[in-house]
Amino acid sequence: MKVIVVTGASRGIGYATVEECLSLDPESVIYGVARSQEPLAQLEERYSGRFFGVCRDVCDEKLPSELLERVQRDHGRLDAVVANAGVLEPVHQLSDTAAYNVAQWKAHFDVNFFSVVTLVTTLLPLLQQSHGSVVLVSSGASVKSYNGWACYCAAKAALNSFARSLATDIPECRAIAVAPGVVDTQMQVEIRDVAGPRGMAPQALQRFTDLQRNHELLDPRVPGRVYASLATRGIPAALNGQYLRYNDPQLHDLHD
Amino acid sequence: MPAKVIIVTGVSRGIGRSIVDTIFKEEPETIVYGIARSEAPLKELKEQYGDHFFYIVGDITDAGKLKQLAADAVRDHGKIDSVVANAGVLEPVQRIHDADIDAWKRLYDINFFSIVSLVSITVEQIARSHGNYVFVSSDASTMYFSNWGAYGSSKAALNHLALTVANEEPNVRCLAVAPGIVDTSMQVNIRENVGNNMSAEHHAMFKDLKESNKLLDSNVPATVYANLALRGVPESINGTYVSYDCAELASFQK
Repeated sequence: MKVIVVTGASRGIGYATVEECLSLDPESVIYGVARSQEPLAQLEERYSGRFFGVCRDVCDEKLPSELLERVQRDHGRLDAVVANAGVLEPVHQLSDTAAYNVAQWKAHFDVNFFSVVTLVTTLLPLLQQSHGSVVLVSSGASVKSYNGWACYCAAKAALNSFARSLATDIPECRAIAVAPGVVDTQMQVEIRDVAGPRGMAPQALQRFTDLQRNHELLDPRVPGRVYASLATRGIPAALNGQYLRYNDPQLHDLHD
Repeated sequence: MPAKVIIVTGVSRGIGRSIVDTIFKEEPETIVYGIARSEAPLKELKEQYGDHFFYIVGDITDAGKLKQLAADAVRDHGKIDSVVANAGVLEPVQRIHDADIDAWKRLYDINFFSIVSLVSITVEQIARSHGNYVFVSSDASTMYFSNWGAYGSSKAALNHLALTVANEEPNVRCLAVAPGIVDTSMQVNIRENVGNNMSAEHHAMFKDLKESNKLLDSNVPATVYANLALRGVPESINGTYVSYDCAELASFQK
């Protein structure tokens, strides 16, 4: 029986990852963290006894230790963490000094980076016991430039580095950072409708609106299945600490 | 050619101090604006370089000081040609289980967010002068020393910032450059203090480098940073992360 924590479980990639985990491994049990109670309650009802909702903001200081205690008490083990919860904003040109607000950058890093560090490091003792997996939802933005996305890109680059640190420092676990592709979720709506028009150069935004118009956005279950495979089956030794895209050939064998 | 106006952070010692000295050695007419937390070394620099060196005493995490430094440069010398973001700290170095996230955040305040702020504050001027940002990065951004997760990741974030600056600003060049392993107080800290929080193997590696005289004199990377600030970042590597001794920077090493 695998015990898995998924953050940002209420919708999008996180929600898909939860469902794919439960489907791939009929004995797995998921703790899903999200801010919205309703979707968590629905998952609890649908997957009674196998899904446990944790209605919390990932930045809540008490979350990591409460989760550790709860998982230890109720299941006595933890096999994987899928750190998926993430935000996009602030999106703005670096030259837009009026838009720049360092507090917003720090708040972004709190969600997309520091909360991941705290959660993973707190859960480490359990993960080490089970030779578990730390799966980090990264982004192509971690290695490429996206106009207006200086903050998001830098935080994802830091996240990739964290995967490497875990692989170097903790021999008993494995870590991997995986970009999900461009996925049909709320974040893409935010890009097209809000952040993009306000903070991106028009040609840069066009790429995203084109993907949607041409029906080329990925169904969340596509990357969800990859994250679920890694969480339920483990991370191959050769990929420990690495950053890959969801459709990297080295990940193919995992999800069949 | 009119003298360049260059901002350098962390100038009181180590690589930053050497950058200032090297800039003036190469081009004595340059105007340098420096910031550091200790006033005494700043006064020494002022005494040495007179009307070519100006300073503010302050912490780079204080955006007000950064704004003041930039404003002084523009008010008194009309422009800013280059910014060398050198100031940085190493700690916390800790077992990852013991990660003190508030200490990580303080490191990021210095090593990353202050540099983002510095870019935001100066980018209009740098663009106007078709100028340059030079970021002091680290081998730790791509190599993994035990328990250096905070520092290494902050430098990885910084490397990416260089990419975005170059991508968004056609009139600006930006380069993140690792200085190598340099004989500064950061290395003293590693050998004598935080090294105890590293693996025995990595700690020994740093001690051996010192003992066998393989640490770089700060002038070596400082020459590269100074020349980049004076001559400009080569277009071919704009927006990237490189080591001070890479082939593309060969001519900048003298």
